Amino acid sequence: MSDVVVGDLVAQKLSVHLGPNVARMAVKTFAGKIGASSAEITMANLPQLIDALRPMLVVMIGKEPSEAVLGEIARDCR
Amino acid sequence: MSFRHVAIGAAAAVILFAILDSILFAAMGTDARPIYNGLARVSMLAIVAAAAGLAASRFGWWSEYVGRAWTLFFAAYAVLTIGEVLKRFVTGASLASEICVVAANIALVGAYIMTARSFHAAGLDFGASRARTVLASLVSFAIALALCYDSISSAWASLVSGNLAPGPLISPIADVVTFALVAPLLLTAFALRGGQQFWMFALLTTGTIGWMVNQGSGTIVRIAGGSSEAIRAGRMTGFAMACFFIALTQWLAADRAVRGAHANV
Repeated sequence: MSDVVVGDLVAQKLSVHLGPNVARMAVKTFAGKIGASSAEITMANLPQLIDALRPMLVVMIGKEPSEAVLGEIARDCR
Repeated sequence: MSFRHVAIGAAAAVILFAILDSILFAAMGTDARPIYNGLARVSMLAIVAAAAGLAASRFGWWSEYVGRAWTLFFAAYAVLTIGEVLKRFVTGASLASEICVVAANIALVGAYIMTARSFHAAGLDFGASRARTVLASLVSFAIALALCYDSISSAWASLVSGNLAPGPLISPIADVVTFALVAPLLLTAFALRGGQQFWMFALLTTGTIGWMVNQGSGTIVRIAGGSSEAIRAGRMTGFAMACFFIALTQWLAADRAVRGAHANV
């Protein structure tokens, strides 16, 4: 899987819940918080991005659904 | 079944209720009407309280952000249900009913503020320009004020003339706040379009618009020259719309929490 696809795949998974616009904005915002751009998300910094996304997702959809979504992202990006 | 189908079903249920309510109310005797009104309102409020309690319990009550908003909705609707029972069916309980109305409105304002601030709390923004956000907020505040102006002014006049009942004044003031929060709710729903969360915010916003219909029916029908029956029908339709859609939002949220994030409904 190419590096660029990782950020897109995360946005794609989030878009099921947050819609494509907010999903893209969330990946951009939280990638920025770990010092990367959306395009710079790789398998190496994906765990950091997942950790950064967790509090946002917990607020938006709740703790258990968030863990399910983040687990799916981690699994499908492998 | 998709969220869209559930929303269409809820709208159909509100229309059906409005038709049946008008037919039933017209057919029953004047003695039965207050009892019918009371039972209908108490039942609908109790359904929202039960759905809010279910959602709050599924989201850990006060332990997480979503749960806190649902907990406040639960508290508000449970207390509103008790207040409605006291007002309609218990004589000499007007003070207790007033206290319930005030407490419920405070909880409801808290619930709406938490829900409307979800994006901010999550570290996101609407993606809309500041001018658009401010304009939407001003428009919803103006509509809220117009809908509640009659109630506020008459309650204020009653208060200054010596009738020290705060409920009739606090309730429409709280309504202004919750109705004004329709703007951020709508902006949030608009930003989330294409995702499942869109439906949560859209259904909750529709329910809140139901409260606006309930509150504004008197003024609008009076301006249009409608009868008192038309005012009652408008209020009851708004009441049903609010209760059906808000209960549906809470039920869907609770269902998603149990069945997993990918449950369609």
